[in-house]
Amino acid sequence: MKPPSSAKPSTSMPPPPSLSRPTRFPDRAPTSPSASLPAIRRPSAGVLHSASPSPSASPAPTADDFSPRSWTDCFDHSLDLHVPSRNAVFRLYHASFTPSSDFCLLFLHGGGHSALSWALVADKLRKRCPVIAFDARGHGNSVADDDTDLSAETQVADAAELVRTFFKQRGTQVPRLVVIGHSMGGAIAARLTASKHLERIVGLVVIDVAVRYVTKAGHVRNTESARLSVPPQLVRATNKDRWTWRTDLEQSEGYWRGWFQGLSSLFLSVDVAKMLVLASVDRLDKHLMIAQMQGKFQNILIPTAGHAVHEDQPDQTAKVINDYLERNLFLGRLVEGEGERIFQQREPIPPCC
Amino acid sequence: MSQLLSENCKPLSEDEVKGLCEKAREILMKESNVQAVNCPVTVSGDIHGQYHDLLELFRIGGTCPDTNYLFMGDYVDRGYYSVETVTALVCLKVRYPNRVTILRGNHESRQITQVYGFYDECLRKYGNANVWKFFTDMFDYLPLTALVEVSIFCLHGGLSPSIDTLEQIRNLDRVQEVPHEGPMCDLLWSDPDDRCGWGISPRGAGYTFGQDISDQFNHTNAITLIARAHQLVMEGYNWCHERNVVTIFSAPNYCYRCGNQAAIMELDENKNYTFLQFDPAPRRGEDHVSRRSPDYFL
Repeated sequence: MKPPSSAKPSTSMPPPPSLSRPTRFPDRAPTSPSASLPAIRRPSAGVLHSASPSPSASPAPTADDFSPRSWTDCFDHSLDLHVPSRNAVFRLYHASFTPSSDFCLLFLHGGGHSALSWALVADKLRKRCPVIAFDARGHGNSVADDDTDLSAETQVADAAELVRTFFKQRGTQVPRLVVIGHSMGGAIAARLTASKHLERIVGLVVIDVAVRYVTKAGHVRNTESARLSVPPQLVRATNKDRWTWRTDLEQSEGYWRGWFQGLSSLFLSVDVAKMLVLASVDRLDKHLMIAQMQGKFQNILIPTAGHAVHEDQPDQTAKVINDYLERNLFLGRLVEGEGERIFQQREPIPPCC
Repeated sequence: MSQLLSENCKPLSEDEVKGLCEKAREILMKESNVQAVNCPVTVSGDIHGQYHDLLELFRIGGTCPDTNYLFMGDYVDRGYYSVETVTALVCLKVRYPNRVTILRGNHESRQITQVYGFYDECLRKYGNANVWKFFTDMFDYLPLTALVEVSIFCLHGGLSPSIDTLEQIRNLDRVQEVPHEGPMCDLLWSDPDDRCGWGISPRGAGYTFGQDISDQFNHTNAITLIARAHQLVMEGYNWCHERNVVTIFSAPNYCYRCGNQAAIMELDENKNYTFLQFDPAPRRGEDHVSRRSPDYFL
């Protein structure tokens, strides 16, 4: 895959902070996803990083500042979580958990992106509720025994096991979850919700899923977001003074159909509060168009954004997610009394009287 | 008027639209939030800029002033001829104010039209946003609901948990942009549902209401039927809540891809209803519309 010119890695780029600890994965040498990515450097598994105090006090941003930014600006903690059942160590970022948290947002990034593509959105939403984002296998700083297996089944199982392991380590049960996915992550989010691997998924937000975008990772218009999200997408090529893409998306082509096939029906069949956020109105297929026109899900358009909607328009994306969370009473806001009156009759769903 | 309602209709000039909207506003501002309508009348649902299908609707239902019409909103957006559609309907309203009633739909709003097509179409056809502004300013005056012969309640969306009586609707201040929540929003956004009681609408605005709610509302207000639009129904009309509520949708093959029939409801002088279904009009001049295949999901 050719890096897009707008985000072309350059040799003069300083090492991204998340790649600055060149320790190899402890158990085994990472399998290389392609010849162009011979070695992956990453922090050792199980290391816990904390956001405070901030390792580098970032100066006030200027318009032409393209220097990498740290995840510590947007999350409280980072963790390399070993999930034995998946033979993988996942890089995970989270914020705002308290011992009594019983609700959280789980973010799934798009193909070729990384958890930090959610950083700016998560930074807004962590003020309202706990948030988790993680690098999928073969992406960012996660490593699995088979980094090239990006099949839907594998990724769904990864997400479910990772969530279970994370909360088991915290000693709490898995809370109610709203799963939010972009592109490939949107497909995985819908499949995870439908799979019932996790019992307490109450909401599904899918952002700009479309197969024609799969290879467009890295097309981010918002510098502020790119400063956070691009570094984990890059690795240093061995013995060469240059950067290359962490994930060879074109190699995943065999899995694309599996991500997206039958997704409209699957999305529509899932009985949780659903929101579809798109950058363009005219591209819904027949099933989605009919369902949208029957009021079966919430459709939000952010036409000023490109495919990486949440990176290009993080404030607007965070706002529509926040409004969705409030409307569906996952987060409190309602006028006193009104909430009970409306909600009491709708869980679970009885046949009409 | 005959030229306006023809296949080769040319949009009005910017000044003509301005004059038309001023005239329409004068008429609409005198109408009630619950506008009284007499039988016979033919009731229509969403049109969504499908101008050629509107012409087909008039061929099937009869032309004004021989047939009286009640349109329940959503004239613009999505289809490629919103300007022609809304211009024609507003002209009919101005020409035959007592024979044509046009209600407000959730798409008769500044915010929605900026995203779903009407704004862009105005820019494309007029080169600036003035016409969009004339129309959307006028939309603020459209009545929210109508009451046919004191017994058939017509509106775009549905009921609101903040509203029990028609009198409460009459007291709303409707001359404003459609709000994000509250009774005026609900009337334009809500949907009936198989489940009892009120529910949070999956749409992100309005509510869903069950048969217990429509039973109570119809009883309280001594009405026999709620006729509404807003939802695509494959046969063009659909009964629910044991005939408390009927949904009417008048845009065949919605968005040029949904494969649905359209329908209108004729009410004769005795309030007997007949549904007339129709398919998309065969049309010329559509080849120039590039039709990329949709690709959100496979």
